[in-house]
Amino acid sequence: MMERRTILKLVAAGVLPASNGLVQLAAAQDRYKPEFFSDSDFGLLDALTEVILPSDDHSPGASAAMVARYIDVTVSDGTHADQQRWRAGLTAVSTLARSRFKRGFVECEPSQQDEVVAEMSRNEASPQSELERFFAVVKRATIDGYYTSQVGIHEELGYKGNTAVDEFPGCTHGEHA
Amino acid sequence: MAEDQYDVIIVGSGPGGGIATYALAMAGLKVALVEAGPRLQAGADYNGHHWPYEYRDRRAPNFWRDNFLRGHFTPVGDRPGHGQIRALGGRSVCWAGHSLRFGPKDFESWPISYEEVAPYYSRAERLMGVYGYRDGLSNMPDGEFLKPVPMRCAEEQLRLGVERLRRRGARMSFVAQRKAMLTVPPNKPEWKHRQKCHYCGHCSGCAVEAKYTSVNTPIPLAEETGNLTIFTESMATRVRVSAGGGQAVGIEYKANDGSTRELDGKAVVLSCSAVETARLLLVSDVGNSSGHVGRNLTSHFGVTVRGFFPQILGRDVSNDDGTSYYHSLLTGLYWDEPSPKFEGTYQVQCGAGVTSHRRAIRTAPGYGRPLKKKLREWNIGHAGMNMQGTTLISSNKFVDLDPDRQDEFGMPLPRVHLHYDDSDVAMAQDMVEKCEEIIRAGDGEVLDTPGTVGVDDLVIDLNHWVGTTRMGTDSSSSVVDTRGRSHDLPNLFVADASVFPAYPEKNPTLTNIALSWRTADGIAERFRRNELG
Repeated sequence: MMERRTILKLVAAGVLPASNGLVQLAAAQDRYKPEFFSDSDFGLLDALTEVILPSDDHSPGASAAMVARYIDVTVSDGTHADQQRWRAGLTAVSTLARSRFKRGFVECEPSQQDEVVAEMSRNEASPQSELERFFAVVKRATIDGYYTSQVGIHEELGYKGNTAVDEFPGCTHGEHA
Repeated sequence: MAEDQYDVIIVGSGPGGGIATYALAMAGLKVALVEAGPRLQAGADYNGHHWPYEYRDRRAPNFWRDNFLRGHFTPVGDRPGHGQIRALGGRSVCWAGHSLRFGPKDFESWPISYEEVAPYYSRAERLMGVYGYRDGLSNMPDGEFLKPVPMRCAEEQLRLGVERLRRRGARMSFVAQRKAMLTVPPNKPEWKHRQKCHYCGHCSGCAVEAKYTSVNTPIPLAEETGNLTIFTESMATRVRVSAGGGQAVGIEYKANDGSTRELDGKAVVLSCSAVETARLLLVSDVGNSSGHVGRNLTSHFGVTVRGFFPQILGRDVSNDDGTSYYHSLLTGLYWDEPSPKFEGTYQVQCGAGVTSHRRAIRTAPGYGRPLKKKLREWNIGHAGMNMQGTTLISSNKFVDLDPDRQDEFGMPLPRVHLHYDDSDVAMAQDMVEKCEEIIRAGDGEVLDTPGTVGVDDLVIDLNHWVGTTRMGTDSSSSVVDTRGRSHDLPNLFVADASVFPAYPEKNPTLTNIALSWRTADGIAERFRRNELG
């Protein structure tokens, strides 16, 4: 699994201690039991977040960063209205995929998934439909989850702060000043 | 009956109350420090070095967010905020440390001059430990600085933009920030409870005490004199006065067991911050013969513009934490020639760099690989420019008491009235245009900007309120004299930023500490001359 490999890489790089339970957590990821979403909604959410922030040459994507899991726990802790919005939104995505391609979003080809998300994001600046409004919700949560994850912070952004250094060097590139 | 008799009772332990406590206890006076909140412990109650993914909700601990009060005031008008921390040290625990002297021009509209305050700036900087470069600016004098902290790459690009515009005649300067943090080992006895900064960026609740707070410097030093008694979780509810009303005799407070108690003091010092000091005076109905308590309210406000500098994308991005986000400052604007379009001045606090904290860029259009690439590049290559302008002092901004709502201590809530004036909007518009120009002159692209500014774009600084008990020589138009003493009660004083009679663009805390120290010295002098008690 991508997420296990990612975490082991971070452990090897010294970014994460091997003892902090994240390795075991990675092993348990396969059988993660969603707190709020149904198994099928959780699978759809995982695929949807990966289309929004995909794996590329630079780093793994939202799926490896376990973004769906982050969304599941925050929606589980959220208000009833939030929960309703998420359930209705995922149902609408599923309905669109089925009406267009006669299969669930997860079973769609990558190009078909892209077409569904393209339609959801068509009027991003001023969303018109419930589905377009849901795109803003799921995109915001995906970005929040991804850039607060080990993958997003350490692999994608290359950020290794939060540590003690003796001096702060600032910009050391003559060409910038 | 009061529990005990003190020389001085100080209400509030933030930057002003902390330094007054220190100065008066060191002068040999018996001091009671009354603080509404508890004493929090660094490391146990707040800490740094945490990653968001260690937490279920991905929110690493943040002293400010985890401790500021909610529902403690009534906002009226254009979305006023009111920051209040109830804990020993108050907001000195979570302030950003920015320590800029007000300049000679700023004091021209005050009843005291820069030269009168300058010795106290020096004393304050030596006690606090303030780092900075000696920039030689006319209206932001250099202080007694520790080793400075440099800017990051994108901030250097902004400096380049400013330098190019200066060569074309623009009047402004771009300098590194000056902050109250130890960049050298704690080699003075006053710094024995502190450590050198290690640049982790968790300055809001610095767990190693590199940043100056009331709790790591003046209060423990005052405790060691044996002259200080601290009352925590004790909410002052009233200033008590003598039968004829001519003297303050002490305070009434609610203890944490719910009981109402009294303290007697020969002098009373209020250091509760601009909104709360005004509230306590209004609730007590003292010190307000001028009718100016709560008026002349002003704060800093602004908008944010961000630039993107693609030329720095190849750099090492591993650690930009430093002393938190802002390492640089656009200053020197309208010091010499006022703008014809608005009244007052502004500065722009600038920052840059990758962070796991709240300054991270989390918005970009689209989805998929283009979105991911944009967010990566923007986080690495951006610079943020956050305006800090002074709101126009007018009848549209003031504090009074809410006739309908009370807090858990039975006191009326303060109402904070904020209605922006046209001058405020015009100032923000000027800042937006100036910052866009600087970004382009520094070879950058404007990443986000409000463009045309409206009132809804303006964000108030909820921690920078001043002016509600302004100082002056005329007792009909001011609340305290130039040494912080009430015009009405000869033994009632204010030692916080409420006394500022006018407000430049610069951050308030260093001046609050310098003035409060000066006020405390005046009180000690009066005790020596047997004028108090």
